Amino acid sequence: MNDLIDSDIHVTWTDPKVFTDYLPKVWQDRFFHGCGHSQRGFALSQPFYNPLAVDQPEGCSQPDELLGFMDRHGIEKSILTNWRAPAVGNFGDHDYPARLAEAFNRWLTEHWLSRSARFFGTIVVTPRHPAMAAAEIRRAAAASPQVVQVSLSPGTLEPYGKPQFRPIFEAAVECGLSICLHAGAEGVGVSNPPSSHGWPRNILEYRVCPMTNFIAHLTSMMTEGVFTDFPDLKLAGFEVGGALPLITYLWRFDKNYKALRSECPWMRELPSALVRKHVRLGTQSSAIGEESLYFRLLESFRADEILLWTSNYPRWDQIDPSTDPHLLRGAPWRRELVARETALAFYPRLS
Amino acid sequence: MDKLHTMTSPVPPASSRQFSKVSGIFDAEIHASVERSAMVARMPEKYRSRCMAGYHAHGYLNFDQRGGGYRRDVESMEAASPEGIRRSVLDRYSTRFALLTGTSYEASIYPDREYCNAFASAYNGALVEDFAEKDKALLASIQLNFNDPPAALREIARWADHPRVAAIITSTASTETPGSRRYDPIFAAAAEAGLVIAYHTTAEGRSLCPPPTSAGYPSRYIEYHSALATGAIGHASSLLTHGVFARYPDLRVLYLEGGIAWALPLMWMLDQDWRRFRDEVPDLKEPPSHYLRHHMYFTTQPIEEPERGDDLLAVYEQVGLDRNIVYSTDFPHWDFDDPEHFLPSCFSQAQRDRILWDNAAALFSSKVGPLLAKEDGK
Repeated sequence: MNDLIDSDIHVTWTDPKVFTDYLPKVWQDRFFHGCGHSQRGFALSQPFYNPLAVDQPEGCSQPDELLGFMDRHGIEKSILTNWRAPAVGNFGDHDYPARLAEAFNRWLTEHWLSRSARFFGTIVVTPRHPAMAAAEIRRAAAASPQVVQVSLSPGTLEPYGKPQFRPIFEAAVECGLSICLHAGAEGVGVSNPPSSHGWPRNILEYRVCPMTNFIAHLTSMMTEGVFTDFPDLKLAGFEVGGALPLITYLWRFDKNYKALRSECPWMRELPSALVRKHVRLGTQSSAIGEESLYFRLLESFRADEILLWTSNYPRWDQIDPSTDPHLLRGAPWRRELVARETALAFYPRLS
Repeated sequence: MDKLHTMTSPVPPASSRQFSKVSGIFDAEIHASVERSAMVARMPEKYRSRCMAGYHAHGYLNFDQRGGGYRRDVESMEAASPEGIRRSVLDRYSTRFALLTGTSYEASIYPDREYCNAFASAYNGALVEDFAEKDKALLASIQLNFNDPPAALREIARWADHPRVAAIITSTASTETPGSRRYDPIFAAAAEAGLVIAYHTTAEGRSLCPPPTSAGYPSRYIEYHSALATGAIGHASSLLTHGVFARYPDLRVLYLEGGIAWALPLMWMLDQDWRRFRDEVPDLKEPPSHYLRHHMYFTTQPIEEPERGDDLLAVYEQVGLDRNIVYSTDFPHWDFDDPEHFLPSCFSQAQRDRILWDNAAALFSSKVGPLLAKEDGK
């Protein structure tokens, strides 16, 4: 039975020349040859060597291959993204990355979304130029009803609660799209160091940063009143450690809210209540040290209502749904939520 | 507002408020207010004017609890003398020992190296001589300039044998990842002297440090204070993955005000990645959780408050209720935790005693043991 919805599948291209048609001539040289000898295309240097990713694909490049994977694993619908594209938010300039974002979004729509009604798309924009980002959201959402989400780079100079980002959220809500932060561009290109104590020096240390980065953006968005201004705004986190780090963080944040909420009177609900309404997290990056305790803590939060099942196919750490504890354990209603219902409610364009 | 009010934990009934006074209480964090004049008097002439002018407070981000960081029901001067601390905390709660953390832990994040060294020395003199030596319950944590290891070693040597100097204190915020080998001489000397290194959050983003989170600078205190947990998470991930505890098996560190619950998902995450990337972290002979359980300690304040109290207990048991979790008041700050009320009712008396006394007494045993023996006239 094809009943799963996979909210994080990575797609890519084999020949970058597919972008020739989408880029103005002035930027084609930069895209194909880079600045000098490096940094071609979307590439901004990844800070750490990942030995496990070396021989693994960054994404699936053939629609038929992806459909085959989905059929084999009982996946009805999938939301497609690309590992590198969100880093358009980490360039120092505006015009090139904005045109690159548009090119990627057009490619995604024409090469993937138009190929199957089971494919849905996560587009990218340049958050540092909110007006251009908002215009691109409106363009892309109108171009295809299968566009469901906008990915903002997690690597920033300022957190997303700051007022300058409101036009992006306004456009997303207007178009019925969710916002997501997908791990990968923290500390990349022009962005802050990925942690508050200076640069990590090994891949384990670095891979903790997406989780703390997501928490920081979310805290900013809540306390700055983004969810008050946009009651229909939805935010997803992918590869940010799943639900448990956020749940334990809320034990502190809820308490602080009770004591300190006079600073942000526009924030009318507990952080945990705002999470339940507005925030969803991909399952794939959850570290399950001890299964019984993991599920007990998740159940206390009724986390099946905030989890989106993700495989991360076909990247090096992809999860097979037939062995994923998030789908195996518990009562049928619970599996149903994580497997599809939570995603259907979160992405109205999926139905 | 009324609805929110009912969500706060009610004061437990009197029957559940009893706790054992047999062992007493070890309070792992009291902020003694070291007067600026007491530091100035211990500084070289050339630095006195800048210390008096408050140079060490530069780099603040202008976030603070509205109404100030102090408890409103406490006279502001109560933390400025050992007598006040005894009156307001030690006698009131039958506290047998308390670690003093003073007013500053930022000697490693200001730009002028020589001044930082002088600042640390003067501060340590004031905290030890004016406070710790004046009350039998008080222990001191000394500051070091981590960015000048030779000077830091001299300062350690100055205090290593002092019976009331139990710890080194610095900020979780750092200009260089805290597990870096640059700090190895300090780790080695601390381990040899039996000094616990205490890392205190809240200097994140100040002075030379990177922004308080990778997202960027926050806008207000609630955002800053809540996200301090992420500073502690990143800091712990650095010490654990850089192999500090593999290199210095006798070293123990204590996190102050950084929270505890995050340590569970962090352990699971790092252990999973350690199995994946062992070649990338060759110093680690054991999984990161092993080093966390054997070398990292955490103060409870500000205690995390899940909806279900037994969730906190379950997490504490994994992180180390039997060893790693120690009680602290954070006196005289606004988010003080009262020893009679801070734990959910599901914690047993034995578990409370572990947190209130046993774990800290074991952590600081090299100092506490002799002091208790002396007290008993042995």
